[in-house]
Amino acid sequence: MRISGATHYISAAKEGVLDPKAYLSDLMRKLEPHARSLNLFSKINERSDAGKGGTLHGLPFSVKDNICVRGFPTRAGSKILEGYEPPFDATVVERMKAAGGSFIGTTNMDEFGFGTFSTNCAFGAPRNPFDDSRSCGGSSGGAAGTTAILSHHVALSESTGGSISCPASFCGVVGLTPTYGRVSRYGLIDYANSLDKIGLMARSIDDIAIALPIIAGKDKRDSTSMAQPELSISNELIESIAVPEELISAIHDKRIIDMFSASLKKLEEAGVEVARISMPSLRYSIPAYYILACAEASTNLAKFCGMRYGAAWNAYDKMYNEFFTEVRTASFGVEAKRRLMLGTFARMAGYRDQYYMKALKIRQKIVEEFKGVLKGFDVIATPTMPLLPPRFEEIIEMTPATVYALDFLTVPPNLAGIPQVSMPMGYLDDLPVGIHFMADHWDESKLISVGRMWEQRMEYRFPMNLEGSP
Amino acid sequence: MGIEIDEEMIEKVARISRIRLAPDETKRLLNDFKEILSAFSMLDEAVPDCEPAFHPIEIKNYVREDEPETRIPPDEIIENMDTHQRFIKGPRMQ
Repeated sequence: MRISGATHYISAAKEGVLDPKAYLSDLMRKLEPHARSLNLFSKINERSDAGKGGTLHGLPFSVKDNICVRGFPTRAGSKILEGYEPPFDATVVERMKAAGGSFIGTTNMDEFGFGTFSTNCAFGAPRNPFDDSRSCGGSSGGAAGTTAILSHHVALSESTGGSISCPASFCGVVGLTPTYGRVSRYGLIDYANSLDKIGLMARSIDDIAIALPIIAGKDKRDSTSMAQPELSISNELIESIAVPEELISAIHDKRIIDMFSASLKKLEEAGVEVARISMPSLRYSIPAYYILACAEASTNLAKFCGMRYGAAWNAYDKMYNEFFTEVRTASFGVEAKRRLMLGTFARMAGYRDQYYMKALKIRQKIVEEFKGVLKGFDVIATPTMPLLPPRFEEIIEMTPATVYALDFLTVPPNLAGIPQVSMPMGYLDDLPVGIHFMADHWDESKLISVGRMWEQRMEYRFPMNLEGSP
Repeated sequence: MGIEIDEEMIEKVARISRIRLAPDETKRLLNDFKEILSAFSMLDEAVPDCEPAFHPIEIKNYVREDEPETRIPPDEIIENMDTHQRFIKGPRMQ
């Protein structure tokens, strides 16, 4: 059985072999130059106090830049939030601190989560620690890169359409997106309320199994978290895996398909039944997702107008419409403007039924299709991304529609709100490739179980193993 | 979907979104919209015979107890804003 980073750290701290304060101070000194050269952090917490006791005994944790941390700059990768310091902790941050976690800083991301490669960050793109000429993936790119270089750490991250799975795959770490509503979104700077989920990245599934019960659970400040059944993680027998044929046949990189087939074979050898199935509605996932996500974003971001948060615009001689337009024009990036406008368009009179209402119905169809398959199978599996982490110069050449289409493997489970985990599946050209497991609503326990089964058959590689001295 | 998008439409959407576009941005966004909406036109063939899903899971309304609570002191909240004598400053209405 693999000894995970967090497990190892926690038992050492518990036994008094490791002093959390000395560990943290040494770690921060070592982390700083790498975090800077790879641009992983929006801001490092220079006054980091070591957490005490609890479940985590000072285990370091980072926070994606769109999750509020009290008295700490939180910008969601956007210039429009420069200078904003939330007067409160998000529920997940509050819970990690209460469990004895040590907050080490906020990680870089695409502006408001609008991206697949973290290149839409107003403060520069994080670079992949496996090859710094390549993307970390997005939108939680900084969280994934940080997880890839720190031995003992968990990252609070967030997914709307694949923003945990994609970067976890590109940076060779484990990324779990829980069921929609499993983790409170109170204190999350929202992109699309009906799609956003706060989740975790770590170096092993056992690290995830330690942190998930801390952040999960009902929160009166987020009504969507109140419907959840209690989280119970146990070792479940995984007997069957379904593979949606439509998704696999749309992958062009044959090496990724071959690696995936070999991975399924390993699981079959362990006694798991693998069946190819059809999920015809998934072909509509990309348009349905982008219409819903952009429509919700276009209303959510209306609050950023230069008055209440971040960038203050002191041009009070201007009329209010002119004032709002000026601050938004100057502060939003290109992709943010594109998505706000797409969402506004999809909600406009005359197009609402054609786009928005139809997308909502397709989501229902996709939810039904997933639930139908998961009645007969424990989990569904695909590769996480259809490509290796691309170089920055390759990304510049991609059109927006091309980039959106690359999300076809991660968008379906996000649209359906089912839990999913991306795990390192293997390495091609010394770059990590991810495998994606999906389970039914509230069934995170099955993902942990299939994850443990997978990790018994897979050796992970990490580009760096930074840790503090004990 | 047979929707004709032109520069006038792009400018209208930008105006509603409270964003001002330079002429080259309008042109670029027009091309982006055309490409994206053309890719989305596959929705034309979809005829989903079901109710719309506003959330992926069943959501009920929960209300908190009607008890006063000062979680964040008001003075801390307005620290992020430009204020005058604890009033938030804003642009002219007319």
